[in-house]
Amino acid sequence: MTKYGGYCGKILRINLSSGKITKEDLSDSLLRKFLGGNGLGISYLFNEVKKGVDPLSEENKILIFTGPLNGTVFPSTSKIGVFTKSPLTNGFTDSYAGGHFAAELKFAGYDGIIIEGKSEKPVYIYIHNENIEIRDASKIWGKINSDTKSEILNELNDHQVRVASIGPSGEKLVNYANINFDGTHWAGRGGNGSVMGSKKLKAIAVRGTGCNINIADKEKFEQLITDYYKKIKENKTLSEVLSKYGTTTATRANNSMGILGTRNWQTEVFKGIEGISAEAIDEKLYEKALACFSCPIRCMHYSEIKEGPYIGTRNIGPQYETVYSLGSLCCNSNSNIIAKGNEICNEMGIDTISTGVSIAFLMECFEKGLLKEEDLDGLSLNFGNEESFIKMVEKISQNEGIGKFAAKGVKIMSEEIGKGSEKFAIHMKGYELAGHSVRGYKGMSLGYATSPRGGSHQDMRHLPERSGEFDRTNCEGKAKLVFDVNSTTAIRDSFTYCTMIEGVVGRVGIDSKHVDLINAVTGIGYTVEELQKVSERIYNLERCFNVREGKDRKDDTLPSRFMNEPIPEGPSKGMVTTKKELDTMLDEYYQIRGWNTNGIPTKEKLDSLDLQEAAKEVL
Amino acid sequence: MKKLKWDKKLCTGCRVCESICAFSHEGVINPILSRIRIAPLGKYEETQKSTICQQCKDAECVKACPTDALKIDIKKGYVTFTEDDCIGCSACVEACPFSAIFMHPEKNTALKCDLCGGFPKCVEHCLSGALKVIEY
Repeated sequence: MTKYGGYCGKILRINLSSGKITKEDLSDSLLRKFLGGNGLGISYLFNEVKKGVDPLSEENKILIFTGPLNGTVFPSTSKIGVFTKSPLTNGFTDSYAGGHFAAELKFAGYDGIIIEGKSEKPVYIYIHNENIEIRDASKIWGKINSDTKSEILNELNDHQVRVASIGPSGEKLVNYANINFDGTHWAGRGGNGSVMGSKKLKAIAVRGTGCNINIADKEKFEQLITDYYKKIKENKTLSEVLSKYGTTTATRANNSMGILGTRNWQTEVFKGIEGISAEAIDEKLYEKALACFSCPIRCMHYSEIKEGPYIGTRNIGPQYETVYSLGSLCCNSNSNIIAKGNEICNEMGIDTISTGVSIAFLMECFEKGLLKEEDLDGLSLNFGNEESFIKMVEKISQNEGIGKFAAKGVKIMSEEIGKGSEKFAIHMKGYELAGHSVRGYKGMSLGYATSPRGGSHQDMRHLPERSGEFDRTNCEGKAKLVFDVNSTTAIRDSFTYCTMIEGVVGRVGIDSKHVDLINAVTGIGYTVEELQKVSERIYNLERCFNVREGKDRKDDTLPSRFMNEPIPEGPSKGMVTTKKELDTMLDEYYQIRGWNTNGIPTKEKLDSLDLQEAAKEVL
Repeated sequence: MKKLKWDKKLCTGCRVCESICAFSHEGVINPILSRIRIAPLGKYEETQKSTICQQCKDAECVKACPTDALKIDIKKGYVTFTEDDCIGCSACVEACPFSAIFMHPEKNTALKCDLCGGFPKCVEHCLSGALKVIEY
């Protein structure tokens, strides 16, 4: 138990091999040191999943953690974190999902869940306040995510249960299969769904009514809520644009700057932009704005395809990243095709980003004659071939035919094909690139190269450069920028709050706003310096996890395309991040971080962060 | 009289109304302590169901209450609840045709919407505009 507000003070440990279920206390010292969410996730993962563990073996674990802000009424605090060793990268991966699951788990009385071992038969876990059961899932094994949820809700006869599930893709161990939450959100990236599938765990169902979330300083907290609601109402993007268009306004915005990933990033201007713009998606697809727990921004949308071969298809989204990966990247200019691809990925449970990037890679292989129709199950996999594209999405989701090859991800595919395809395999550390340009932002170049999970746009953020606040064409000062943004993203993922209010809380560096918020909820009494240390502790421990797996400076790199091929056209024509530029930024970044020139944390740095045990293991 | 009006088409299912109701009345957050309830419906939670006190002019809960803890206050415009007078019999819960009155699981007194004295917190924090106060 804990004296701090916001937390339940307890986690669940469930061993699927032995069936043993234990409730463990979270000590005040652990909470002060690691905070929640991301912090607790890496703390447990580093200690319990050791070097060389096969991600799909019994020894890997799935950790699910909330933070002290989840289940409170502070705006946009719905995110729950999933932490594991990734089958895609063989390194650390974290992924965060919105919805109502995080809050429900807190109301049930738990800050997190550790899942270890492996079940012989398909099972699902049911958590209802004090009562935990491991139940037979043979009837739902093989079902898509929304059907899985419906079946469980019917079986438990309670329509307010929240369900986290894998679809058939996780069961079939697609390298980038993911975990669905509430039928409407996804801890999308890194292959956590396959880890769950390898344990024969189909779902986790939660119903929570027994635990009240306490706030340390109620008066201050009430004032903060009033302040933030005011800021949200005054911000047009947060109060109007997101609820109308979701994040899809980014498509045209990026295209206008000449940094929209197109044709496997051969170029960054898409001629078919009108068909996939925010306006097109709003008109053709979006039906209603919906929201995560406690969020007044309401950026998600229920959508329906109203014409064409996939008429009647219903689902959530698509949001920007999917419009990029299944749209411009594969040269699809029809938003209904994106929506159909999105639906397959969502229901089967695969990451839309890795799916799109993997297909775009194969499209370029086909274009260059490295692969022919007979290698691709007879598919003419041209860029923009809508029928072939949808068939590819289906095959990947089923992990069969050429889909079985694509399901491995672009790094492994390019290694197996060879013939220079490595040059256009768009990944960092095996994790496919998200929808924000590398060449178009010097800061993001460094951020992507150094992100612990890989080609993620969530450790370094593009917004400080896209807004013009920082000059995206210039390498100078970018090492410090990346360090500062990393500091706030680690805090964001530990409190937790959503990227949508990142700008309001503060995106570049930790300041009194972060401290006031966490102290009002928990009563911990952090200073800015101590909170800064927490965020560095989290980042360094993630780095140590990867170093222990053999990753170092050589892995902090970028796809050859972005270091050697300048953007060929458009407003950002000529931009490229050379190896020399990257090396200079890396040297500067490692120095700021307190790491050696090979990107390994020094003993001094780890000792200063109270990570002596990690230092002993890793150095 | 006054009551809350809920627009199903605008409701996004965020449940800020539940959280702020619980927090402002009870000082902690737990939807089970809220006087307003929103539940998800539909395969993709694309629609919601609400349970809201209708502040009835001829309220059944008032008729059922043996102690006068529940009263129709014409001047204020809603059905008031005085916690000190509540004996926890839950006759009001049985009587309400909307199932919109609940029992506090620990205190065993009624959880009854009081429109926060006229300026409901749920309405204030509902940025989609789904919740409003209306005269009827």
